Amino acid sequence: MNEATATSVRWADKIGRRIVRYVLVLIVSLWFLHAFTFLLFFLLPSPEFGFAGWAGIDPSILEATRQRLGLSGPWYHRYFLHLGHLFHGNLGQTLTGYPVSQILESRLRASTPQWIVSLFMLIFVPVPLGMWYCHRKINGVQRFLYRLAHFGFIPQFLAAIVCDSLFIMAVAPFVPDSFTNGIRVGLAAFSGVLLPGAILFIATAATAMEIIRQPYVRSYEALGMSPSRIRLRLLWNVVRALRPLLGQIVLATVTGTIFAELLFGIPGVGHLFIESVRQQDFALMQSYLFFSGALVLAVSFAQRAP
Amino acid sequence: MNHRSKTQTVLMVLLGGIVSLALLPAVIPPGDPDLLSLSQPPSLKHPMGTSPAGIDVFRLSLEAGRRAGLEAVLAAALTLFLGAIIGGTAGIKPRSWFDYLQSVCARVLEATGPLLPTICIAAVAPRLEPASLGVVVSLFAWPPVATVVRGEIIHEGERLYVEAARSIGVSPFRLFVACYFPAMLARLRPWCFGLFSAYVALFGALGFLGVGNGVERTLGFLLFDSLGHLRGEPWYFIGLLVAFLVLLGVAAPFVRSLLSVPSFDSPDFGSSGERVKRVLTE
Amino acid sequence: MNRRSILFFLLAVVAAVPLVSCNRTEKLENAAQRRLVIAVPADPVTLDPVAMQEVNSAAIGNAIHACLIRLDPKGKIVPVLADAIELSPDAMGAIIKLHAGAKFWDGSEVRVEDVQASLQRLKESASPLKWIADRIEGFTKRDEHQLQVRFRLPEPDFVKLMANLQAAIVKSGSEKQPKQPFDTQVIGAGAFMPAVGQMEPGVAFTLKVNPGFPQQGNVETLVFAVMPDTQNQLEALRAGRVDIVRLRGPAIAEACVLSRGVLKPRPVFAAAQVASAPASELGFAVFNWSHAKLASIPVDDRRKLLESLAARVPRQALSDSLYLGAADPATAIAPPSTVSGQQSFGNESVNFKLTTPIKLTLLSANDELARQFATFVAPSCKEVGLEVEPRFVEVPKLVEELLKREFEISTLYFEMPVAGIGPWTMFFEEGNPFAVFGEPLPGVKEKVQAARSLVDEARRNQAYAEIVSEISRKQVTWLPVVSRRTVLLSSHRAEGLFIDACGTPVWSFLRFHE
Repeated sequence: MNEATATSVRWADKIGRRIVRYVLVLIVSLWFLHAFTFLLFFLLPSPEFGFAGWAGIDPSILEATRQRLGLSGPWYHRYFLHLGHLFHGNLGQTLTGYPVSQILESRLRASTPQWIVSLFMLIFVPVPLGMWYCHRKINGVQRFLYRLAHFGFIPQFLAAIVCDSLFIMAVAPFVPDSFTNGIRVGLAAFSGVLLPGAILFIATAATAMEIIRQPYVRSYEALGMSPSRIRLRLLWNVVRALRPLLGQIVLATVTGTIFAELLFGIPGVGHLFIESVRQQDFALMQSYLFFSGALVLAVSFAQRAP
Repeated sequence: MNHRSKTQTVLMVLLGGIVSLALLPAVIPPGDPDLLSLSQPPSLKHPMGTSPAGIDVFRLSLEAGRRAGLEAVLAAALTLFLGAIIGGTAGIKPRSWFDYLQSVCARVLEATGPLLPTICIAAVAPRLEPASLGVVVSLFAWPPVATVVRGEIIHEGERLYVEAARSIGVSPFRLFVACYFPAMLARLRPWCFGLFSAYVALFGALGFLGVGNGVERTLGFLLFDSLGHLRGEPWYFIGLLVAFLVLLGVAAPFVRSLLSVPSFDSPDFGSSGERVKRVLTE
Repeated sequence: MNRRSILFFLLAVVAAVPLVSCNRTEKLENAAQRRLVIAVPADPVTLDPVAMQEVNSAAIGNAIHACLIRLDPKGKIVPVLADAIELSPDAMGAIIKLHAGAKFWDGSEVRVEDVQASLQRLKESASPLKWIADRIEGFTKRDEHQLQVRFRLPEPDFVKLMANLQAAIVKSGSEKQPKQPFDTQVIGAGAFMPAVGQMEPGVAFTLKVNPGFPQQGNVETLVFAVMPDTQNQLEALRAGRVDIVRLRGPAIAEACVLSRGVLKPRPVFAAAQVASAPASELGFAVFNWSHAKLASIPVDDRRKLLESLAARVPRQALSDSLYLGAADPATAIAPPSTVSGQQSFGNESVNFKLTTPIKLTLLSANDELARQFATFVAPSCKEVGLEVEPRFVEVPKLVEELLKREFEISTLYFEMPVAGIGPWTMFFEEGNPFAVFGEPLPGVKEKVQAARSLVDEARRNQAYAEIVSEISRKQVTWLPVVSRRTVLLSSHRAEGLFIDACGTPVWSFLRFHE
């Protein structure tokens, strides 16, 4: 076996071990997350009358409702049943009798346009703007933008409120009706990603300004590389340095989505979570909490090898 | 006194004045509804107008801001305390079972964040008093503080003088008081502002969603209520929004960093960004 | 133009595509498909007429289920599934003459057996409104389209009672089918029927026209779009995505202005029209005297406290500001539309105050209207020594705390689905499930039963009025405040808005304006 092949084999072996470790640690963490969400809702007092309205006065109807919703029986039975069902994609039933998985799926479809726009805004705005700071001298516009970005650190619900009120009072009455829906989705996405976007931009800019001062960059300049090529080369280094932020960016986007959908009336998963909170629909709340946590866990594990 | 320090002084005086107004209910008592002045626009008598229930919006904002501030201080203190205890214990005995357990718990809690579980709990158990809500929130929000404290204690523990102190038999308590605690305090000082601001935002979000006990006079809830009067009484919404932004401005650590940001041309430029990154990635 | 500029331009175009592609020409689609969209604030709980307890379920229920008859705002009978209901002179029996050819959603014909089964089912149900059918003793089928009903006691209001949604006619045996979401296994005969696979909770409930409904309109699809936020509803109406919005409380002031005493839409909603009608509805505060904090107040002082409070609550100001005049001050335990001018409280104790103030929690629903209402009541309570702090909870939690009697003071709105003054007494009848929200008073039940049996309408109404007056003078639980009117904001595409005698919009008669 020659050296190149041996190197490739060692590299493949290393990556393979990383992947296996990543998956194992992720599975264990997901199990802990499931246990946490189960425990949380097991310990919370389940509303009785909210399940069955007036019929909640009738104990037999109440018990039948509890059984239908999987809320009766000893805790260990309920836990392992819930875990087993999870593997089969059965997330239980909502108060109204719909399968939770079906509801989540239909609401995900409603959230998709906003998420696409959010993703676009998160990838193609803060990072390229931050890479613009990969320069030894910063001009006045860059300084202003950097300071302005700090005002993005407003609470997400506040950002959603401001964007919604702007839309209602200043945009919708003056824009042709055929565009209002698109603008509404765009503003909703913007309000949801304002905070994570500001974090990402400031971190990218700071990292870029730090990296540009590294000695090896001088050698790029000495070789005659243009500033844009240097930026492109350093982009991967900057992105790697930002990996620890990924999990929190995703979490911030998830919570931002909740307020954006609530205020803009988008019937997506975030809106669904708030409805389930108001109706005290445990199955939905638990599923949302678990899946949003799982998403953040999966992303945050990518930041470094476990 | 140079231009930057003059600006800083003026801003700090302004902020101090607003904070004092909010913290002294005796000076401007909470508003009582005036049913003869329902939904009045801004005037000399009511500088920010009146709400649809006849309450002066300025007083309403002050009272709500005061509540938000007090709740945030309580929750921040609880979180710092809990995070310090857990992180401190893990840092003193790194790689022990407790350290691994807190690490896994921290990962799980960081994955959900403090907001979502608190919403679930506060919605189902709505009789939570602000103190209880603060406890609940701090139960989910300790991981970042614990991580920072743990890191600092481990780092401090590796220092030569600490090793020397350990080797001559200094008790763990004295070690903690003399070495770890000051280091912890130095690292946690900026966290006080950050947590306060974060909790103002978090309780505002909870009030906005209408969960938790006593939400009716919170800024978040009032903001939510004011959205239903955008066309009829826009001053109600604008006044509350301004109040909320001012409250955040008082607390935001980034205002401080803005006030003290060095020249862009100096090697220290990016310190605020570095600080942000450091705070968020630890 | 260099490569970078072209790249940025292309990126901008790619960014704009999702925004523009999110637009659907909903207005054009709605027109082509003769589709009307109604905004509702929340999902229904059930679509089984016998189990419906709240307004969101009733909103959709009124479209998919049909009663034998309906009552217009003036009380005139409008035939629906029945051409006529003839009452015997002694009110001990009635003959229901079914409309020939009326069909259920599944195409099967509405038979007298279905009418019999529906009324029997209501009588045997757990519904708090089962008293509507409790005087029915038996049925006799006279022919394929006539059913004779016998009563064990005179039931002169039988015709009016049949206008209630709880008495909607459903297909016999369908309730025993396997449970479907929202109980849609219960098959109705309304103007519309649930579209298969298009009932999306939290999003929209799409209904298709039922070709077997007797009064066919030209609306082919009716959509109930779930929009919890009033501003979203109004914005959707303005943009043409929604056709009908029911305005409650602050939403009235948000969407309308008073012009010479008449409600008109704001200029931004210039293309819409306002429809308003009296409703059998009451907003009131209810006191739980059995709670430890209130139990300390002597029994003799309770009535005085209510009188003093009643004199202070600014009913007219509330009506003018919160409802923009679309409400009437209420002073009796039934709405002003049923008992005009009746006063519950005298003037002897208008200056009464508690010697020691008591701190209380005012429980209320967490919606804009209820919040505003509670905020109006709270200052008056403070003036009499009750320092109330409002607390807003979601409706399921509110119902739970009310039923468990865990509240101190609560503000409620109640929409009576049954027309007339009599039904309002059920909050004060012993043994009635609704008495948990009121105060069972001895003797009321017997008097109501006696009044209900009076054949002469004038005497019957007089008897009910006297009972209500007596209850109003004796009870110490309710503080009536205001009675709202039903206000609908609709686009020009929606015609034929029918608001019944209770103020409930009935969607069966909607027409699409071509």
